[in-house]
Amino acid sequence: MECAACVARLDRVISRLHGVKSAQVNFTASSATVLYDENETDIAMISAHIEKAGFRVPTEEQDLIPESNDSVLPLELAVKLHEVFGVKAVEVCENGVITVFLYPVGVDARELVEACLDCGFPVTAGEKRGGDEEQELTKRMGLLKTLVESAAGTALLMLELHPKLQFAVSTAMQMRVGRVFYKGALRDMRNKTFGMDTLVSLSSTLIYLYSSHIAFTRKRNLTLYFGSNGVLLSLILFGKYIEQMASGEASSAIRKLLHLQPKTALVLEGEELVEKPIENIIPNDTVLVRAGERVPVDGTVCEGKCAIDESMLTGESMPVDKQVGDRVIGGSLCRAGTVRVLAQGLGKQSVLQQIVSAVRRAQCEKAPVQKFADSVAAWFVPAVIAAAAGTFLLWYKRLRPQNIEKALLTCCDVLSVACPCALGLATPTALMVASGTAAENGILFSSGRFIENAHKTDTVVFDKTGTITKGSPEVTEIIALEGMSENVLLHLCASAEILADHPVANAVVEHTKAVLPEFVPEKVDCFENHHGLGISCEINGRKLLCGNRKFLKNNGVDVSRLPEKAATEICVSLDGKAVGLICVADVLKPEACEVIRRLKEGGKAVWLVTGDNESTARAIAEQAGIENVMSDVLPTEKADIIKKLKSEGRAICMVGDGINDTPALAGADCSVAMGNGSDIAIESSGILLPSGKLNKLPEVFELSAQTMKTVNQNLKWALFYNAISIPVAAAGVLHPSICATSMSLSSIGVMMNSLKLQSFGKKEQTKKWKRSFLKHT
Amino acid sequence: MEEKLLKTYVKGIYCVQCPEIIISALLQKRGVIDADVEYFKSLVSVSFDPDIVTEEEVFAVLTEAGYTPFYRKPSLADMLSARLKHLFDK
Repeated sequence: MECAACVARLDRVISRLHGVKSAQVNFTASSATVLYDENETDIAMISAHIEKAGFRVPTEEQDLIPESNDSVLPLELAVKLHEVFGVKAVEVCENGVITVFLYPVGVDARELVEACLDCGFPVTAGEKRGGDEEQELTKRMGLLKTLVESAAGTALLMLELHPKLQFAVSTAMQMRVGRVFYKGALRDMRNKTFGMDTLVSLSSTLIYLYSSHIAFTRKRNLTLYFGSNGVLLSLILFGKYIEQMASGEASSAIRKLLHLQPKTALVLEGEELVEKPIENIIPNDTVLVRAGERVPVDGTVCEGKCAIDESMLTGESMPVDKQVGDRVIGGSLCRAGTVRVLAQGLGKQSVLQQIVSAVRRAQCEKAPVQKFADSVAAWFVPAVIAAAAGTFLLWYKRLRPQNIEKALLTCCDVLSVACPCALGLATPTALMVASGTAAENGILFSSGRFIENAHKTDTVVFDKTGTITKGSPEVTEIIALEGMSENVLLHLCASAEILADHPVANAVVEHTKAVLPEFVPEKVDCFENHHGLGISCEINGRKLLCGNRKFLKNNGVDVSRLPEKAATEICVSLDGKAVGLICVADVLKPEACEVIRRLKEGGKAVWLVTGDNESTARAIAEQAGIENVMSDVLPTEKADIIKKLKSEGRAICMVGDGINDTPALAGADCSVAMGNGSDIAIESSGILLPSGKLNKLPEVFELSAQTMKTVNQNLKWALFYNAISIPVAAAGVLHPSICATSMSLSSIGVMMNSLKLQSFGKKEQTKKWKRSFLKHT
Repeated sequence: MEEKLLKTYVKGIYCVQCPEIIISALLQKRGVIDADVEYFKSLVSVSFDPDIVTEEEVFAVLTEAGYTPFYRKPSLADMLSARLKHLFDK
């Protein structure tokens, strides 16, 4: 794909195919996402049509090396391999190595190895060649070569050789260098759309033909423009080259994520450590991870302790301590300690791959703002051609009658100065850089739509449990009446509650363990669990009751001396006398207050929606600083509330845990789900914060605002540039080489402006670092 | 869990693929925490844990990948010659 106009064309080619439901083509990523009916068409058919339209689908080659040399190749192997999605062809080389040709749909070598194993033919994955990276490289090298040729040719033309010699050099150049543009223009014509190539070929051909005509008619007083033509081609090629480099840079964030995955791992086989390529690791292999190494696969720690830096996933640079039973993520960095990890998530199932594919998907989806740019780009080129024709006529008939030289040159100026690419690049480049940068900062956008929508929202609706609170209750207050110390109360209560399996009971036990490290439960007799009320038991012959007020009252205990609290209460009585009260509540996440303050500062209204009763909801809202509270809301009603708020003219951003509030998340203009660190269920929401930390939320809005600002700047610049440059060129005051330069610069400018988004979050980090530095000094 | 930052110019960067190769090579090395390459400056920044890997070993990774650490910023001539050399090698 050479230019943004290719997008519309390829889109149309694929969408028209029989059996294809939808197609999304992305220019910057050079990729297409196609949804099709398996029964109607297949990947080979689609790729054949893409190639027919003049594009290339790069093929990847994966080598499979047989484990033993003399085993006979089973006949069904080829069939089995073809069953794997994305396999194009299978070839067996003379040395026994099987080469599988693949469509670039991210086929995992593991799938192929497994397919071979199914036929009883064990192989190991060998080298993988080709694919989009290699294609990009070949394309870039080809362009560089053409550029060098073009520069050499132009230098020759500058020497003011004999006209016929100039003609010869220029013809050669037109064939070699101009070919790049002619090819594009031809493809455009076949598909009845017009892009930059059409404009460049038109203008360069006109200049070339005119100069050739002069060279042979020996009108010596007239200037030859072969040199100018060379300069024009070279400059535009140079611009293309720079643009290509910049577009590579735009996707660098996502490529860096892929580099995080180690290529080999130390696998325990019996008692021996063997270094194996990642592709050959199978589930339940035990992998050794030492300090300083990256975790090769997703899995569970089965031995040892370590500190893991998961910043690539969550954006949090503080290492997290992991011990036996904890999950670790492939690609994260082990900063200290050595652990053995039981491999679980491999290949496409790994969190890293899921992040990458989620970001790639987001980059491929078009944001609404892009539709505007696309519609402008579609009529832009025909309009420029018309303007150029108009300019020619105007000069030839009116301004300088019969002076074909000036008229033709001005017309060519108009053609070469117009820049449809800047328009086409304005949105996709910005969104691409933004989604990559977001992923680096621990924010995953599932589609460009949400990058655009997030900053437009004016109301943020929070779900309570698990979103602004930790989601598991904690002991918040202990009130011991006279004759009883807090610790004794806790000790007694925990000894009994340890037998009750209930979140509230667990909270008491956990708290006791934290406060009294040497806690050993007392011997408990006659334990009875009264569901929904409390527990009763005997400790050292004394009757203990723990439960809510009603439970104690029913058992004849006077609870009037216990103060009322806005939390879940565990009233404790000993031998029929109330002795104390333990308050358990879901507590706020530590960062919640700060985040809500920042959101309010940003001019957003903050709401809390929860299924809890009013007093609990109010208490939490008050702590967090939220005034608007809706309590006693059933999960199914949350979506209605979102609808109601929307009907008031608000743009809603719903923040939830993504588990029980899916309908509400789907109903909001923009939805944010809090992850739990290892599960990438981005489908349920528009934006996912894998770290589950709220402090990323203001960053979501900031990034969205910054991205849309960049998109607007780009679009304005592209429109402004064309609106100014075309009339100026038509006035005939520009030299062709200046036209070519400014046209290249304008699209490079758009790219560079988009790349500025890469610094998002890095400034924050520097600031944070500076702050901590100042604190320490 | 110490962290040290090393910045060095390298010779031999000729196209945008080179930073990819360098970053990939560095991140595979045990003890390397993060790596970045500024393409236009030919500047490589590596943060690493000095308890696990030494500066010399980091340099060795760069050399092995085909990029010689360099005491100064490569001049335009250096970069052009590297690019042309690669072009003709192909």
